[in-house]
Amino acid sequence: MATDYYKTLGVERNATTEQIKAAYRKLARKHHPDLNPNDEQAKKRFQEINEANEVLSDPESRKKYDKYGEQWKHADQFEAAEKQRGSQQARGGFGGGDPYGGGGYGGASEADFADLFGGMFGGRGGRQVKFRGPDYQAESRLDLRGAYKTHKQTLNVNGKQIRITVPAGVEDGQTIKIGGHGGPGTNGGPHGDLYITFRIAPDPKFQRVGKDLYITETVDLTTALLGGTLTLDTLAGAVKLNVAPETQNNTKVKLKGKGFPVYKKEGEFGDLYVTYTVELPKNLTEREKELIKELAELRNKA
Amino acid sequence: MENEELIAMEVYCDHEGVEVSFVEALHDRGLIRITTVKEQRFIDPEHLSRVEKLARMHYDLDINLEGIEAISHLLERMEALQQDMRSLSERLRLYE
Repeated sequence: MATDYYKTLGVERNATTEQIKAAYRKLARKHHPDLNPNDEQAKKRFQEINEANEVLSDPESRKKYDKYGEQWKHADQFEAAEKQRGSQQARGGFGGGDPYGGGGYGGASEADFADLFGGMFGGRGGRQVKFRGPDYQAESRLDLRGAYKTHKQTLNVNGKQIRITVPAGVEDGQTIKIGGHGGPGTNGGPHGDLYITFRIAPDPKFQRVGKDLYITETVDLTTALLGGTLTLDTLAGAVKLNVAPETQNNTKVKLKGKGFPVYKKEGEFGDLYVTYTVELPKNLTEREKELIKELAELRNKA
Repeated sequence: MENEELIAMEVYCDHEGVEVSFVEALHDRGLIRITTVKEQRFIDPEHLSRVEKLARMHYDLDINLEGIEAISHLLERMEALQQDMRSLSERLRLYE
């Protein structure tokens, strides 16, 4: 879809540089990621605003954009082709239309776009001298079982493979800092840092609240009434549970230390809470009905 | 070794095009920490990204110091609320 930088900034096509700057600052104050932490939509919107501003605030780029629209970055190539077309007219030139075909430059545009955004965090506008490299932000998706154990993970950050250790017990939304793995610094300055935010997908069986886990387990009627044992698959392995006689529906039991590992506290675990759901039998046989009637009579007499 | 970890304030300001008085004002308002070693002032490395963020607010977004101070407090509260919201959502999922 074509992007209209003037529309993005909400200015007229004949707006002055000052008007563009004012419009950019107004929008940036609303959507800048610094002012909207953890807001992906604001980040995306700011990237658009920033890109529009980078182009329209520079008279040279603006002129190219006004002439070639979205393809302004290839203006020089267009112009060179234009000249060549003139000299090669006799041979039919490029055959007319878009000389570069559709979308052939998609990859390059994306890279340039990333540069525009990255530049925002490197230092004051337009300065070439920088001290410390920019910080990078990355996201790592895990499932609950993945977050249960300390493990190594390889992340692709800006085309570079980075191997990190994910400590057991990381929380959904938790961000960890990997020092020195951000963008390179200039003038011998240090690298920026890499911030990794973990996103942990909900588990169909276990609910996690901090270091504790919750699970609902079905118990058949006779075990609930008379007591018995059942085997429960926990994240720590199978556990044999004693079900007390006359266990009521929604009874909650706590299994100490069978919950989630505590972040960076080796050997420390939360608890596992098991809620029993008593399952009433279906498709009763005649004999079963007789016995239950007998039970009902006994209970009524008591 | 310890000193290598610290960032000299004047050097940072010079390279980043940030006024020394701006960084001093951030320190005076309790928004960042400056450490003085042998009469030279250093920015605490832990606070460097905060200084950069606050400098972006001031120089790129044209927000004055009073505004930055108010925004910093609001952002802190916002991040704490986001954290609360996440843990409440976790608890709420138990009842779904």
